Amino acid sequence: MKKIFGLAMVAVMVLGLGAAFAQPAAGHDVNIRIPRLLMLRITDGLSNNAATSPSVEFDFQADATDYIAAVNAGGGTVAPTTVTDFGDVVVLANAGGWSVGVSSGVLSFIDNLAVGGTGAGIALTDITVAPSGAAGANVTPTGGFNLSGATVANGSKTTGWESLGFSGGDYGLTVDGDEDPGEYSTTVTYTITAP
Amino acid sequence: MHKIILNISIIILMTLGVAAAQDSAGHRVNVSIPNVLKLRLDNGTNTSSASVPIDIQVENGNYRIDPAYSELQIFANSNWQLSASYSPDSTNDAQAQLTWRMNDRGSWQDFTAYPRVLSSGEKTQGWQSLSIAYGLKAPLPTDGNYSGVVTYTLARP
Repeated sequence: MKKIFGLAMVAVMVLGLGAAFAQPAAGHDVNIRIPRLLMLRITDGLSNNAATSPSVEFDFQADATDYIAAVNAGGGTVAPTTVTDFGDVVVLANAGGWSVGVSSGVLSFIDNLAVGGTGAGIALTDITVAPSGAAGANVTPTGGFNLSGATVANGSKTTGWESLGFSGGDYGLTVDGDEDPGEYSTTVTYTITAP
Repeated sequence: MHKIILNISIIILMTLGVAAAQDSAGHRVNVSIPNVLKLRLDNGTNTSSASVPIDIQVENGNYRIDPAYSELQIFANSNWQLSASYSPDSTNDAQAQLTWRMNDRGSWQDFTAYPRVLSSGEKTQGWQSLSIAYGLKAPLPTDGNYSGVVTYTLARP
């Protein structure tokens, strides 16, 4: 009887230990969804943060030296007098097949000197960009362009933000002396798209 | 009904897809062009006015004027007018009445002591050349040397 009782106790202990050493488990799925990213920013050239108020100024009313020099030479391309907050244009694309185009609003004119001009002599095609910087490894610039509308670059999947290779300092204004005196302005937009 | 809802859903999804597939950034471009009126005398420096010393020799019914011509170049990106005046160096010099003619065409005109409009026009689209020839109005003064200064001024009308 004692033997039977002893065997029973051992059996209970073994079962009990077995229950104590059993490892509970729980699982879950991990799902990751990466969106299609196409992003473009005008930056100050020091970081990839979007610039607050980028602009390019050709203010030859404040200083006509370069304008007169170009006219004396029979015409030429003059550099901006001031570039503000426009050190680079950068893109981020996590898939290829993208392109960047430039477009501009109407070139408005104000006869601020009351000379009587109408804004003749300057067109969007006279404002040009000649990229002088190094474009990103996955960026293919199309070369120089003007603001009347063009594809300025295309490329493949980028590694983070990559430069298009130009800044506001690469802008130029082609003059030949037939420009009506006054103030001209427009808004230029760069847009990255993909099919 | 389910089919309509499905179609609408597809359209919405397609629209979202397009919206996500582009991004843009813009900036302003401002251009300020000054009113430029420049006068260049005998390919000299640019200015808005220029003076030409005139020396006249009269001898035996003939005369010689140095210079015989002034070559003017005008640059204007608006309407302009070119004026000129002649100031004899002395009362005696005023005996020689200086005249001018533009581009070897037209009749001879008198210079006056006050600025007189020689020519005018619209924007020149580059440098426009004018040639001003000098002469003396008859009757000629007595033999001798006479001098004065012609002053050209380019301005808006």
